[in-house]
Amino acid sequence: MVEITHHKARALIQAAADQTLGPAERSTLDAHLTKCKQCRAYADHLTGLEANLRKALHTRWDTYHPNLNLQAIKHPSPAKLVWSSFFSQTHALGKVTVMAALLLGYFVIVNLIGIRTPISSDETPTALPTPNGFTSTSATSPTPSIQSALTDWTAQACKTVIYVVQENDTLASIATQHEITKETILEYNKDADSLVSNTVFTGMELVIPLCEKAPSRTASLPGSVLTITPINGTIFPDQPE
Amino acid sequence: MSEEQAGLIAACIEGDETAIAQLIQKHQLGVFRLALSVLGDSGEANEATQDTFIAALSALKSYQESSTFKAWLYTITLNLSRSRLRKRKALERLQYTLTAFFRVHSQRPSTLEEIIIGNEVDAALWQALEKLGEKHRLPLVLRYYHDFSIKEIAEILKIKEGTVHSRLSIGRERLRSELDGLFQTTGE
Repeated sequence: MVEITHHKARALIQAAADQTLGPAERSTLDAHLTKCKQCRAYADHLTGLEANLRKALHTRWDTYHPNLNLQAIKHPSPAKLVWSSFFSQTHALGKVTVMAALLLGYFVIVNLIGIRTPISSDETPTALPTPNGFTSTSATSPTPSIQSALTDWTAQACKTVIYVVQENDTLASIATQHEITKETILEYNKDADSLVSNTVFTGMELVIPLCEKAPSRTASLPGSVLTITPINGTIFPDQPE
Repeated sequence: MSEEQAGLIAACIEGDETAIAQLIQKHQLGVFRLALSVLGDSGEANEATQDTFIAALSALKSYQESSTFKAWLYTITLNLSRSRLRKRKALERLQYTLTAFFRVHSQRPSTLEEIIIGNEVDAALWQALEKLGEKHRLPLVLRYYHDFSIKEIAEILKIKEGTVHSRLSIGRERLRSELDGLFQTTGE
């Protein structure tokens, strides 16, 4: 008989609640439950929760019944028909209309207000202020500026991708695959559809932060190489010997 | 899809009023209760049900059998109910801002608080469900009230089956920890 951990047993109990447990997993779980008082209590607790949830929902909502106007449904007013169809999103035309309206809105705003770039070329610093008489110059042309390079780098650093959990994946294997730590995955997915007791399910979607990859952390800033020229030939003229 | 269902839908597309009445009769309770579970107000749920059938009948030709008819209908119900909910929330925010401005605070409790029945477990469950948020509450409602399978919930919410499973697990875990100790004494 296959021995399983309490953690695995809880994941199987959750799967059993959704009726997605195979016969082999069922017998493994049953064997564990006969021996483990703690997991048996967890399973009982979950069964109690399910029963009470069903009861509470039915008690609350079963007393209400619809009172529809059949004539209004069969012969709706044109305005109602447009409104319902639009928000139900069943028509491809509705979706296209929404997209067109959004695009139109965007162009109207852009044309009315205009978009100003944060730093124009004549505002780009060509030399950086430095302390104690040091002169620093940018080795490259003024554009891209250091600030915009930093902005680009930050934006890139914040990129994430969605990873769909495959069969036989574990949290550790996904972490290794993406060159990040398990803790990072947990951190980025703490508020998402994720990770009950650090367990992943097949088909589950996980946010993978690209910025946490080792290469990104050590990436240099493009276009921001500085050449520092000391005035008196020494780098630290005031430093005691 | 069964032949009977396919025939009914075809007749509705042709404009057969008896078939339309039959289709509405068959699905109205489920649609209404799904709208009710999102909106928490029977009047609004009734209007959302009405709008759902108007939208569904006008889009019936575009229904494809890639999902079950019920799942397709319930997706429309959810979209329309959510749209109503957003509108209501925007109005409530405006109302709150105005009343706060004039220092007239209405002490009206939230809808779910209002409907708590005099049972301790039910009351605690409602509070915990309200705390969950729609993302985790809806799959629980579809599973434990409407008795949908994981596959059907995935179709209705347009998410993957694995995501349904994880949302249900998270929902149950959060309810369990919120209601810790309650079921040992009062549960079956």
